[in-house]
Amino acid sequence: MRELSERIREFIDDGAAPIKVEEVIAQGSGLRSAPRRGWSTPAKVSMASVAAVAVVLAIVLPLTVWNTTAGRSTSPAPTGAPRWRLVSSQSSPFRALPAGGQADLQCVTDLVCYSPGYGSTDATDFYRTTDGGDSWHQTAPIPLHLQGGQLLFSCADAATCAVIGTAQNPGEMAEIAYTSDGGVQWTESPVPGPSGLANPYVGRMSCADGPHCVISVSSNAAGASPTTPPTGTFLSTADGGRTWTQASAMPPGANGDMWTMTCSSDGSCIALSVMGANPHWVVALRTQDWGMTWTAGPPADYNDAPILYASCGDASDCMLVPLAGPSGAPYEIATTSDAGSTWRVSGPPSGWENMPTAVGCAPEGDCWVAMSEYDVHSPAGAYSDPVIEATHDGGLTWSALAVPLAKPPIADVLTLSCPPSGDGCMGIGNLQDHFVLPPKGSTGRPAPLSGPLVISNLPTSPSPGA
Amino acid sequence: MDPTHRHEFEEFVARAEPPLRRALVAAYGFERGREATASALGWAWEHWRRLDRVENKVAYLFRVGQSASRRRKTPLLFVRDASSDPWCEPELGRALDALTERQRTAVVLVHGFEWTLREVAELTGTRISTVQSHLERGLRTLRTIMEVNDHA
Repeated sequence: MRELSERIREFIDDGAAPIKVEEVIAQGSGLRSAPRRGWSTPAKVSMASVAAVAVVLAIVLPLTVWNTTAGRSTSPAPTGAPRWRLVSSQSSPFRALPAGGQADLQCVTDLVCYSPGYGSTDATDFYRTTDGGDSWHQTAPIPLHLQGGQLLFSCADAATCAVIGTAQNPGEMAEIAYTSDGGVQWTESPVPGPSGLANPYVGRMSCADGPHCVISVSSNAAGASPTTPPTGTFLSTADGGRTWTQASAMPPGANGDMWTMTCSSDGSCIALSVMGANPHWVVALRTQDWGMTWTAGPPADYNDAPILYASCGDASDCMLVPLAGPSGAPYEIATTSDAGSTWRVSGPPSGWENMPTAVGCAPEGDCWVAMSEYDVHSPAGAYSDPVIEATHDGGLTWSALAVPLAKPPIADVLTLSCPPSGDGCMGIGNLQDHFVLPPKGSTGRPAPLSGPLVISNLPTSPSPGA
Repeated sequence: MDPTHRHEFEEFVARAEPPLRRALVAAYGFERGREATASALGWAWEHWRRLDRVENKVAYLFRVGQSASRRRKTPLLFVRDASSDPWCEPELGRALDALTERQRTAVVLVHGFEWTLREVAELTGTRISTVQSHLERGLRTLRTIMEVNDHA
């Protein structure tokens, strides 16, 4: 039998044909995205520029903080603000989350959160906590098949969730499992393929107000270029997935690939997408009737800036973190509080770390941004000194809270889920040692020293209305 | 873009496309990996002046491709459509599917294409020891699965 290395080499190279430069130039990127994390020279150059500007401002202006043109400032957290606490480094769902992995976590109240299980042999493992992450319990088995191990879910409240699985029968686009009792029982239903789309697949799902769910659908038309933006539509259900209705039409120019989608209990939803070919404009698609009719807001104030993160706390308030724009900063913060009609765009406040790693938003302009210092040459690891900044006014002002002390130190926080209460978030991050290698010569398996850690600044007792 | 820059870009694609495609295919499978490579190179073409300042362009574009691919929820997997040539390595595809994204990337690049641990660490933004851990775990899993299949 041939060497495994040779088989791997031929397998990979035979499976995906080389991409010609003509193909690249003809098609462009069709892309609105950018590095999720980790760049080298531009970040340093840009941060140096930002630092130089900050020094000049500090000399010229009698300011102790750097105010951007948007009037934003950063300051220590107010006295009495909830601190981040280390919940666990061995929580069941995340124990086998790969180092550097982002968890699909959703907290629906201060105490109740849901997450898929990671690293298990059964990709349909699904977990629930009712005590703010101190303990996690597996729900009843989800009656779905999954291909590729990517579980897509959305929970409307503490008891109601929907999970999308792979289609099993002709004519279906997917299957959905729905629970209204916190995962004790699941009901399975097919999700039909929408009309007019070739090879449709589910992009995003948002559920609110019990059995109401809206899903965005994209299309990979057969024969289309890989860089051709997909077209799409929306499907809506009002009965936990038993019946579905297709949106009347997409706004002209919008494609079906959504960065994020959030619905509120009054039937309003917002989906962040892009329009145009080159440059690409971020736009908010809005509906007031559970996804039946959609309108597109005006493009954001910047264009062609690749998006690192996007999060909407409700159908009006969203935050984007685009990669470097005209300001020269390594990344920017863009916020809207009017469902995308206007966007406030500015560079990060002075002193922020050079690498944002996660964004989470709650309703009414409450957002949290996790960031770390990124230096690929640091002996302590590429990511260090994480901080989580919070805003409660849509990005006008910020306050910072340090993450908990741990040994070894926390490297980064890659997931933030912030329930509608606005009290805070639960986060999933990594310590600076994800694994310890076995002694040299040992054939033993590398033992995980510290699993991905769970942190939280949510109250440990229910807040009124949470 | 002026002709000089176009020539630079063509040379860059000739040099960078194979490692970038292999890395993204390793992470996301044939279809999504190739699509992510095309998107990343397209982004490079559109932002060539900005990219010119980047030290490790392949690593940077790997993250561009990651971001483009992660936005989609389509299954990854090493599958081929029925019209393609007969597949001589179905069990290798299934075995690679069983690995995590990071394990697959480490196994394919280090074991299959002789990248160094440092090169993969710089590509993925992780430490060398982490890459080594992913490599060892991935290879162990891969060999276990394939040996089981070979003997079945």
